[in-house]
Amino acid sequence: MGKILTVLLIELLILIVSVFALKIESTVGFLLLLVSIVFAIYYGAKNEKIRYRLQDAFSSSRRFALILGIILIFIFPLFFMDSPYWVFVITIGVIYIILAIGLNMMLGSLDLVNLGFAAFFGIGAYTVGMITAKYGLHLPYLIVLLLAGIVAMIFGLLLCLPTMGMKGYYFSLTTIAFGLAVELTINNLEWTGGPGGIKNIPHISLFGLNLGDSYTVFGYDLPFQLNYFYFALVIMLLVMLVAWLIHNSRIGLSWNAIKEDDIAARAQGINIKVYRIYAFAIGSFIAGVAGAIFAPLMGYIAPTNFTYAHSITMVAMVILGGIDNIMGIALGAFLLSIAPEKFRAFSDYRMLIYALIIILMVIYRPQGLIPKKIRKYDFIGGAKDE
Amino acid sequence: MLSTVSQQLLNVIMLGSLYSLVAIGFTLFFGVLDLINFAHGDVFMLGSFVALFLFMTVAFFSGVNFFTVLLLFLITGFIVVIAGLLIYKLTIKPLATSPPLMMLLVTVGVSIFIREGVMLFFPDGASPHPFPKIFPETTYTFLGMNIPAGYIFIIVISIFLVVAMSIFVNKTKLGMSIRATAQDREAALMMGVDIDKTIAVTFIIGSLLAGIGGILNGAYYSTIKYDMGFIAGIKGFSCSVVGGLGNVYGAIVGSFVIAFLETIGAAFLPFGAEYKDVFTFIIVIIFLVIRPSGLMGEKKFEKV
Repeated sequence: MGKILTVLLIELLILIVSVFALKIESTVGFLLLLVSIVFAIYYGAKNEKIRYRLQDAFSSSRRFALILGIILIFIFPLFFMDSPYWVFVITIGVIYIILAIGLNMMLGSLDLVNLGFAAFFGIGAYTVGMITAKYGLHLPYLIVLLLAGIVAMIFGLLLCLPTMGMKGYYFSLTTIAFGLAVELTINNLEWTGGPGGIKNIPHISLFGLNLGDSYTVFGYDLPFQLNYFYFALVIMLLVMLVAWLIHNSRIGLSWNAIKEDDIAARAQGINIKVYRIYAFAIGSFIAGVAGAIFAPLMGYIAPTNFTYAHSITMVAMVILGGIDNIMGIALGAFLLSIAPEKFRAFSDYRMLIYALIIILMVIYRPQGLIPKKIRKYDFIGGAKDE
Repeated sequence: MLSTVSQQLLNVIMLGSLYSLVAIGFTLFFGVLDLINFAHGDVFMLGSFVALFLFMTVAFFSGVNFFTVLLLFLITGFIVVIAGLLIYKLTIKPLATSPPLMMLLVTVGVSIFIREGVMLFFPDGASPHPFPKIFPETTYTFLGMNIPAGYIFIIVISIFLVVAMSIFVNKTKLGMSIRATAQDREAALMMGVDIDKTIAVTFIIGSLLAGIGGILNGAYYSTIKYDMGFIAGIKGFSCSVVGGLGNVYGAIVGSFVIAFLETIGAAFLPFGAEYKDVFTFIIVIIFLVIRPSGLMGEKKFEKV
């Protein structure tokens, strides 16, 4: 019972601190809060007794911790009812979590540094924009969502097949070239609206509900951004579940085997080509889905939303959070998409700060904020993360 | 017709010499360190901005003459070399034993850091800046081509730098240690080569060539912008890959091949001017697929 109480208290504390961190107005106050959080985490991680108690509590009541966590995430945006803008920012954060998990399929699981990942995001968003705004087709949204994922996946495979034999720098160069080629083409083509992009993308309508409307629940007028938040959150949880299942399946294991040593993996009978195709197909599909949520939320998309800088941002999220650890990536993506809003005064310095984060993390803590866990095996098959 | 063809040929030569100044750095770093320095293009950009800054401060007092321009080149070269050394000592050296992925990521980080730094801290850094006219403005006519004197200076300086680099690498003791390290790092270490010093020298040479290349680039296009290093880096890397990574002469050949294809594409393809870069990238991807070892590179076999 004591363990469940510990989990409950810790998760409530995290919720309260994060709500407070986002609500606090002054930059100085926010910085002080940040410093004290870092200090608390540092002290907690250093003290064996505290660390052991927390680990024990969380590992012995995992299901409770997970369900409680999900419930708290659902409650989280309700603290920001007075400012729809913050709900919007958090929703963008959720979309970036989806993207970062998709990118991790290549960057984290296979060590393929894809520096053009924003292209898939853009392709997904443009697919939705073209179908709903430009041609005005009234397809059910879930079909549009799937189409966006599939179109992004087709482009993913288009990139995958020629790069099949490439590793390291050659691969990164090709992905940069691919990302730029997509961005420049969208920018130059008249068909896609050129630099002006696509305007007036209609809101999502799902099972008769229009996510663009604000609904009234118990006498409260909820901002329409909240609908998007819950929709994105459901997709995010699905993507996380899929990523977790894949990570613990034969596919995830083979990816990591190829990452460690591709020649040894081949000698073990792992077909590298097939597993690379899996990584590209799933990763780019996820990015396309993220784009399909992004486009109707914004209502307006342009080539400037999907540039090289965005690809770098996604890479920074994965590195900061922890390569190949889903919770870590979610944390990194959320922190980096919220931070620019918190540091409004320094918003020009955003990319500079991202660059510094990449440099410092790579040199001093290459495993990220939450390092990936070592796989453990028992005799009767199956991998387990502990 | 003759004049258009020869004018395009002149463009190829100009672009080729500018690209090769960047591409040589990529190929040298790859040789000694197995590293692709994604920040190299931004060192190139840094060179042109340092020169512009010096010009704004120094030449304001003394006007443009041969002496100030020479001083401009020397000081810019010095600052860019310091920048290259700092990049090596602060970010790449601490990662000497980490996986290559980490080195790649750190250079990407450094690249953005330099670019954003120039954008934020250079006065009005986000907008394009006109580059001062540092070369005489007379134009010569030769075989129907109009050749501005600046072009001749750019070509002569590029050739001088490449020849000096080539003599250094082939004839001096430090150059020999660069070649030895590129061939076999362990063997070179056993023969008493100071690897750290060798890599530092490589960074000096690469950054110097790129930084001077940045000035020449400014003089050629007469505008510079903080994000031009990105495209320059991608082009330089592409050139060294097409020529064969690790081979200095390959990088020069690759630069002229890319410059040729790009000029042809821009001139003769429909919508060529808008899709010039897309065309180049597609060529590079095709090239990487067909012949990853490049025009002059050795084919490598993977061993366990």
